[in-house]
Amino acid sequence: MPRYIREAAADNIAVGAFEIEEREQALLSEVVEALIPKTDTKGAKEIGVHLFVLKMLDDCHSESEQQSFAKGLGQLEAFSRNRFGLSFMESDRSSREDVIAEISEGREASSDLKQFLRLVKRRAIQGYLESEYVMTHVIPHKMIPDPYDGFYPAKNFRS
Amino acid sequence: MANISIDGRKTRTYDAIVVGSGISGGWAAKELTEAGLKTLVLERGRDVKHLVDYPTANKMPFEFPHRGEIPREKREANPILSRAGAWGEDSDHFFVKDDEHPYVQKKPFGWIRGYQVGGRSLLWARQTQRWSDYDFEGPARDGFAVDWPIRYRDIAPWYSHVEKFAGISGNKDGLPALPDGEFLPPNPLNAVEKHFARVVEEKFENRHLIAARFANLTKAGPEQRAQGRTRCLSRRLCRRGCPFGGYFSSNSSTLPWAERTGNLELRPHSVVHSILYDEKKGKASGVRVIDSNTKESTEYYSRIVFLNASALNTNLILLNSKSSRFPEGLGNDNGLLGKYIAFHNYNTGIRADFDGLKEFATFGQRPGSAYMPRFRNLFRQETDFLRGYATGFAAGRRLNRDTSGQGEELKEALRNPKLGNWYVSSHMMGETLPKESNSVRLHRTKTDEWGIPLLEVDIDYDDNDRKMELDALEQLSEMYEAAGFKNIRARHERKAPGLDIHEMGGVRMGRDPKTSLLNKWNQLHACKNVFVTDGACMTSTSTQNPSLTYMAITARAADSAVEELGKGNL
Repeated sequence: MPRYIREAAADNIAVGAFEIEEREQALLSEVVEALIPKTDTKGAKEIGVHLFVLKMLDDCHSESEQQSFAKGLGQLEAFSRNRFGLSFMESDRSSREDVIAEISEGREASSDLKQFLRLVKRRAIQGYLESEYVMTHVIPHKMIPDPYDGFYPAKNFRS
Repeated sequence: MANISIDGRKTRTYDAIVVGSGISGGWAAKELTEAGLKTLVLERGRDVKHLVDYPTANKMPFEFPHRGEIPREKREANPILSRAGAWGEDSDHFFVKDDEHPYVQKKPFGWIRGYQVGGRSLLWARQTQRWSDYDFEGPARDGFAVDWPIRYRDIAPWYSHVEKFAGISGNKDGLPALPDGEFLPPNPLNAVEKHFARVVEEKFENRHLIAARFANLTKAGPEQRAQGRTRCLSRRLCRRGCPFGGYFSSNSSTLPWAERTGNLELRPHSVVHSILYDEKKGKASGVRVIDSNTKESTEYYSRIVFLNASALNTNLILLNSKSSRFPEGLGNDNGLLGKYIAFHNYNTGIRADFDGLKEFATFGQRPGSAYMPRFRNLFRQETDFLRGYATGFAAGRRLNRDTSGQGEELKEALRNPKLGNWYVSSHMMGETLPKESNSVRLHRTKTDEWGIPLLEVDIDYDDNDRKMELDALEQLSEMYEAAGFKNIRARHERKAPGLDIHEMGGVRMGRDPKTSLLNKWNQLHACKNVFVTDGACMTSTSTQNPSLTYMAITARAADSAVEELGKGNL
């Protein structure tokens, strides 16, 4: 497990001006899982991407970003209930995706909620792609890259 | 003062003292120790041993808690350093923090420093282009600064000398503005870079796009293998220190080489306070050092002193070396010490997209990129500003990840990036004109924790720079359009001087002691056993990345110093 997860898990995760409750942390883990779910490979929750999001929020983001993150996270359940009848935690996988799509594309969500989701998505994608699991098992990271070919046939490109 | 017994003095006496262990100090150490001189190298920072002290060199991206990002609190505590592009979680330990050695900015100036053995040679961008006589003759032809006391023929053999040892990749391009050197195989250019090179060659007179010359080993020659260095593996993690010695640094190359002679003593944690001047003998007798940990002051003695403390710190040491003979700083009879500082102007950059050549992509990595030597005002004056700019150029093909969705769709998109369009990007590297007003001096009252006056830095752009920036914008756009590049986006910003990390001058070379500080052998006119061969010695800046020239100037001056010592002239 990457070091940050062990640290974060042990730390009770103080996030800037506020402390995140276990319940909120669990909610966040479901948000990142809804963004990047478990398939034939691990999903974001299992990799601990939500803890990475919190680590970055805590250490790298401004206080105002932390505040709107906290507000947005606090509004998520009510937004989900109002728009879809069920809280995010109560919803199934596809309804959770609908909630997320509604927040990012719809007009109903508050700017805090939108900003919360933008930040979570950006950091979750980073945390997923740059996790030990993905970099060793899914898209292996080469510390020694291949020799350069500046005329590589594009048709041979494989992602 | 500690250690004043005669025996103590003997143990603190050397043939040569080199102040600083960065790219030029390393060369002074190598050349002097190889010539048999017992040499003391003083470094104000901690020791960094090759291989041993590169703690991040082999870390995977996920081993950095913030994936390379510097946390907010640290950024906010370091407003100067946070503007340095190479500062990251993986290279943090090689950069000086703002509060570690403060200075006074009369005008905004980003002084980016690396206080450790090897200095900024661990962190440099590794581009190594020679100067030509179009550069050395610039001041005389265009009537600024003073005439360089040397020409290309004086330095050419020393370029060869340092290139062979350091290991420089490049093509023999046959360009008058950028003489060829002793090259390892060049870095490859890609399809779009070659396309741009063809367009520039065909449609623009006297403009050429070439593979930039780099101090990365595309192949380890016998000289580098003897140093224990191997081929660059294109990891592009140079700033962490290279476990293969794949690029040139003092740590991987010159310092271990000097150590092998048995003539080197390296003393880290040694802040040089001043150079000691012997009024009776009329020359320098050594240096006063303050131990950065204990704050204890000790004197070391030698027959010659090489100042390679980095351009501005070399100015600081000389300004602080006061005696009754030199009340305004060592060698400063004309009052010009600390003046005529210049740098490189990177204010204009440009990016664009390219729809063509989609049949090609790039694969793998390389340490290099492309380079366009100066074309403006090269053979004759053709604009309303003096001098010109070199241009860096690189092309690549984007990998696009569509992150608009969520769930399995997003996960798939993350795992399967698509080949996007080609993008191209360029930046100018402009010559700035040394002026008396661009200067550094000792602050009248403020001192650092070692009791040394703070440096007051008073450096700015001028109209010539502004005109040049706009010309670069115009010319680059024109060349981009000719090449069929689309969606051209210009960046024209006002970076604080210094962030180029090419600060130069203040102790300039020249022919006349009335208007310069150093002679053509880099000796202080007024104190011949003190040599300045780092960026401080530069009479003008031209447009090339300067390190290679510092190396060659240093090797040349060291050779002359050894010869003069042998003749009993120093």
